[in-house]
Amino acid sequence: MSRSHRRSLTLVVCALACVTAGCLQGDYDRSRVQQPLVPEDVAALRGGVDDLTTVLRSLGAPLNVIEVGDEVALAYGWLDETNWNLLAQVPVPDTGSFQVSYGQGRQRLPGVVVFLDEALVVQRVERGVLQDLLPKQRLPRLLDERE
Amino acid sequence: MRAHSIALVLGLAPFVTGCFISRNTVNTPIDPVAVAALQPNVSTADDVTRLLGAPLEVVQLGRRSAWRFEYELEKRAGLFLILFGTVGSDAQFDRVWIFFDEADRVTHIGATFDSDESEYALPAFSSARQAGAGK
Repeated sequence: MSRSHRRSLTLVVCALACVTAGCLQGDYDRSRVQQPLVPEDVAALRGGVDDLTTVLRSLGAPLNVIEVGDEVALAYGWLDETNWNLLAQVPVPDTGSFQVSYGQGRQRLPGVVVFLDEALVVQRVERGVLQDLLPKQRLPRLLDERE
Repeated sequence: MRAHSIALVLGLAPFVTGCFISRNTVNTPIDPVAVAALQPNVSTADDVTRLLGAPLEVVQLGRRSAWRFEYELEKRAGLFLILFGTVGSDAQFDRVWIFFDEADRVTHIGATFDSDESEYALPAFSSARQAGAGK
């Protein structure tokens, strides 16, 4: 492509950008929430051996602590994702405008859940989406003397 | 790389229609010295509230309990061109969980201080974060 052609193309692109700015918009976003865990630290946890002290020392403070029956679940989650979206808007006479948008994005937080038994010893470690791994949090309750 | 970024910024400058940076915090910062002063099997719930104030959350764990203290720092940066916009947000936390026994004595403490790791970063200019970078 010759130099004059390139210059013309640049001018056309700039002019088009100015003309279509009202009806065509794209965006590219990045969200980071919390620091990811080191996979080796998670893999090093031993079921039936390590306890709450070890988990807190190697993984830090969890996002959530939840009581699951007699077990305690420590949930660690983080996010580092990029999303892009494209919005095209075309004015339609008498009916306002017609709008099409397309994008990509996730709202679910990936992470790791460490389950500990009543004695606060690690039972298992599960990886996945936290919303899928964790049950609903129990409401506070009064405990019977025998419990 | 730096020269390339500067050239990119200068090249985009005529097409920039707006930009912003913002800094949002939730709750007050947690004092690491106060957390370090707490001792498992010695400190009590009274000591914790005296040093750290009221917790954000209290979780019942059978007859035990756990308290959460948290401070969030989010930094956002955005750049808008004629047809295209890009926004980067980075939310990092200082978080402390304190576990108590039935007698409200501290048994375990888990603390993470990552809020200093939060940064203003546009997607096009930021790199992937290393796992455990803030540990």
